[in-house]
Amino acid sequence: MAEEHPPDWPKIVERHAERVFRIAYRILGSEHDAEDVSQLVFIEAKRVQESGPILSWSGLFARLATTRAIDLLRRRRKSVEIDETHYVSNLEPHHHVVGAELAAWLRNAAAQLPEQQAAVFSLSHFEQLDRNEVAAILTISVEAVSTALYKARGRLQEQLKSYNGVR
Amino acid sequence: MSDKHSAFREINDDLEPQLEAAVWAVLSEPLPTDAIARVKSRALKLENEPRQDVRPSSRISSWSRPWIQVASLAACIVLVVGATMMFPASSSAFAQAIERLKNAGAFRYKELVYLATEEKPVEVEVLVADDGRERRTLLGMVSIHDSSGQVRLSLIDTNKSATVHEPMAGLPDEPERQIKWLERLKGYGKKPDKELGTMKIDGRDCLGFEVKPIPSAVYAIWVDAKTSELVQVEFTGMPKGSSVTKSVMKNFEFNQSFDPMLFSLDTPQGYASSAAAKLPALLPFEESLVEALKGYTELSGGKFPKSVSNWGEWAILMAESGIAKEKMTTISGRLGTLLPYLTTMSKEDYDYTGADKAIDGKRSIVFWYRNPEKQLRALYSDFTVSPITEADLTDK
Repeated sequence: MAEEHPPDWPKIVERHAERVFRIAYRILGSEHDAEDVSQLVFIEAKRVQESGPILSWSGLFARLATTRAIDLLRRRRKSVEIDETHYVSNLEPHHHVVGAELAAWLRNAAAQLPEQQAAVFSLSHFEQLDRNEVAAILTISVEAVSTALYKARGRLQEQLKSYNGVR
Repeated sequence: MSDKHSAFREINDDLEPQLEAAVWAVLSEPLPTDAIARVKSRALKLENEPRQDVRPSSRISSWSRPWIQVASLAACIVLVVGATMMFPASSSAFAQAIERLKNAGAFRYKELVYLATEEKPVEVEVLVADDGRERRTLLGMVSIHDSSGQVRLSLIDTNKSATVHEPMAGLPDEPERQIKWLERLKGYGKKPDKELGTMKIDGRDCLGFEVKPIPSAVYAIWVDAKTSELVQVEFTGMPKGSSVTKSVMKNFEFNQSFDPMLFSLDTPQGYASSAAAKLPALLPFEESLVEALKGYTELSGGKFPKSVSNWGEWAILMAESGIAKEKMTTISGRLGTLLPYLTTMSKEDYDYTGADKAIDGKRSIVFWYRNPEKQLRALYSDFTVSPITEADLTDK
């Protein structure tokens, strides 16, 4: 992957902004939070740009957006300490649409995964990337992606059983 | 079903059906296009701005202002984190306190800066005028800030000296201010991250709310349980090596009538006036670190400082060396540039290892950090910077 050289910031923004926001939004489910994370990502990317050449802007943005959004999601969940019972009983009326409820459940459950598993799961399923692409973005091996994905799915499916039990 | 859904099926074909449905539910949510446009707009503005730390809607430039006292350091940290405050959800006592703040006019409060080396905190008296000007009093020194938050006048009563600071050019329309945390609080009406329960503060029963804007920073906001008045705001989460352990803001008095002369930017009668040295141009993180440490070692005979986030030692060295004000301002500016980065980095991702080291011909690591790309980089005692591996850290 070649560096976009010389870096043209407006083009970089134009090319990557939507994806950065989309990744953050899919993980967080909040327009406001996704905007904040996107802003952080661009500031951080600019800082990286100033400290050395960027081999892959696409990979950098995907990694930063994923990890920063997961960081925020985990902080949110940790501070609120939602359990499934609390969560279900506090759903807003409009969330009682099955799809929205499932989406909210998935975000909540993903926040409980170990960081790498959450990142691998999000990039694989929310960004629809294959294992090689996820490995390149997270700078881990394809085998590590496969393992993380396997564990993440297992944990989520276990949580789903508990969730169904609560409902 | 669409092609998109076909691709979705391929990647998710081994998911349990309900989990697959949950993933699909997330992917089916429409993306708010106006939010994407805002993200683009804000990101484009970064092109012509000086480097920023990782916080939304803020600028590094506010950090390169002349640093004065350790309490200013605490206030600056509050500024960094305050700028990133992201309060979720809602709570009635918290919301009531915020509502009261919204209607407050000029006000005053006391800031207590706790240092690891001192038993008692350093006190800063802060007055804020209706138009946003501030007057901060610390250890007999007064600094007056204009409504954009820039320090414009410093007064030392004991020797009747005044230092006039030129406004910095190129600041944004709404620059960060030292009381930005409070403005953000005023503008917010939702729930904090966590409820902290009750505590008696100065004889008042208070309800506590916790806010964690970034992993390394925690705010505790205490409001009167009966009146919902803001009683105290505590901030913890200083960078590694900082001597400041906590900053507490309290004794809030709102809707005050202050004498406008308290906020005048003109040198008072009887004071000898001088102009402040101009600040150096901003440099990126690594260059700032190199320049700051070079400046320190030039004054210390080659010895590295004990810390890059405890500025007291730097202040003493510079004061005792008698260097020119311009040189002092340059070193201070470089040092100030480091703080927002250190504040926002995880404590596991950097370390200053230069304490007790000197420029003695032996090349060793004095600072290392992990950049956002997770690459380890190190500054050596000969002021070169290069990528390193974990193994290099065992022999630092």
